[in-house]
Amino acid sequence: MRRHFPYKKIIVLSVLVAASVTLMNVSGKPQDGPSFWGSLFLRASKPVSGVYTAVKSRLEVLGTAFADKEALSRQNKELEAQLGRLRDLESRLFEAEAENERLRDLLGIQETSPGDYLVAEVYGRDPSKWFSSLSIAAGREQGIQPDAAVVCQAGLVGRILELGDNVSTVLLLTDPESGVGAVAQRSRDLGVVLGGGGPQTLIARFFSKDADVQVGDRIVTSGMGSKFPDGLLIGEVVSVSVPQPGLVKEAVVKPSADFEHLEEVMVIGR
Amino acid sequence: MSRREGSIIAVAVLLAPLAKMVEFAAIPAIGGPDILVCLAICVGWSCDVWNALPAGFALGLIEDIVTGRALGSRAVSLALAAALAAGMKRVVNPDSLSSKALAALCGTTLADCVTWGILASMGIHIATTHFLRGILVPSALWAAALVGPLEFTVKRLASAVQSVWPAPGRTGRETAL
Repeated sequence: MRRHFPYKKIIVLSVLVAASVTLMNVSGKPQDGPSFWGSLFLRASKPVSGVYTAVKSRLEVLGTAFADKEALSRQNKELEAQLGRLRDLESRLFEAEAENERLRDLLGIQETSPGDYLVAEVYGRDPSKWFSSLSIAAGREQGIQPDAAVVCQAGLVGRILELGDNVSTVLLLTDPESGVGAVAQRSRDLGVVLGGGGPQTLIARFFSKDADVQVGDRIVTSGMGSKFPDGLLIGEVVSVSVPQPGLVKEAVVKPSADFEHLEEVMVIGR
Repeated sequence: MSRREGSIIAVAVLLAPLAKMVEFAAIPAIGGPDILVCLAICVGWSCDVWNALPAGFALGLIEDIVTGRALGSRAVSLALAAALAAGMKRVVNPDSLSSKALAALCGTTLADCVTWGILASMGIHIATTHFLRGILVPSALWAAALVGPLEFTVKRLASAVQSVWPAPGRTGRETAL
């Protein structure tokens, strides 16, 4: 080997350095969708993820079946009572909805649609520790648009990053590359909510150091930047500080969505 | 590169997508192990520095392609981690499990710090506390725990791969006879 390649060390180093520089330049360019290898990995991983989820849920069911029977029967009675209350509530809600519709008709107010929602199943998380994203089982064929906002019952989750035919990648709010125009709901101070702080931590950076932000304030999307509709709940302020050199005010925000346990999400505006 | 080194690198590269698939489907990203960095250290432990460098680079590239973001960042980091493991093998007892664990700790720390630095230079900032608590410490501890069993598995698979082909200088027919 040495006889044929006397400059092996120099060649190895030069090739690696050249490859690294090229790759980093390539990744700086914007992409329309997932790369060939990326989408191949997503497609190949879907059955693995499905099998894992099926086995896990079956094991959970088995575990529950073997659990304390007394606790199960108690839980059953509680659930039955809860179901009765929910049925009652459903019937009252139906009545209220019908009444609301009648009153709207009377007042001549047009029904304003909050936008179309598409429910999509989450089937995988980012396999990297460095970024935070989700893979969902819906894509271009289901009518999802690039950069569409993704929400769950608790609030904003993120936006569509990569769009495939039947799969998409969602950039979570906690990703270090995520930034969302935000406003403090109480004081209406504007800022931007950034990721990169950890799996359940967001950093809200307000444009003024005099911003009136307090612990417990709710942070919602401002609607500026056109990627997210306004008023979507992002989270609640946990602590406030003015970092050096003291030009802006920062708040640590606990996101309202639990990113670790998302099973379904809704994509807005398909 | 010897047959043994070649087969170890080939096995590690073939295992890498499978490892990533398992991580994708079943292992939590935060607080879970980073199997590819462990594989890079196993390869480094079994090869010389100049073969470990491109092998680590290839493993990191697989991770970069799967993630699809900041391409090259993990490739450079894992190349350095593999080279560090190969270098450390020369100065510590190569047969001791604690030496391997130490190499895994140092290699993972180096790889994660390099990735953190590269991402910061690309404008992707990860908070220090999250980096230390959520990424560096769990990765390093997992790597120290996993490097032994993983190295055993890789070496076993590599010997199986090696046995498929005849020894150098002999044809398959000669070996059979």
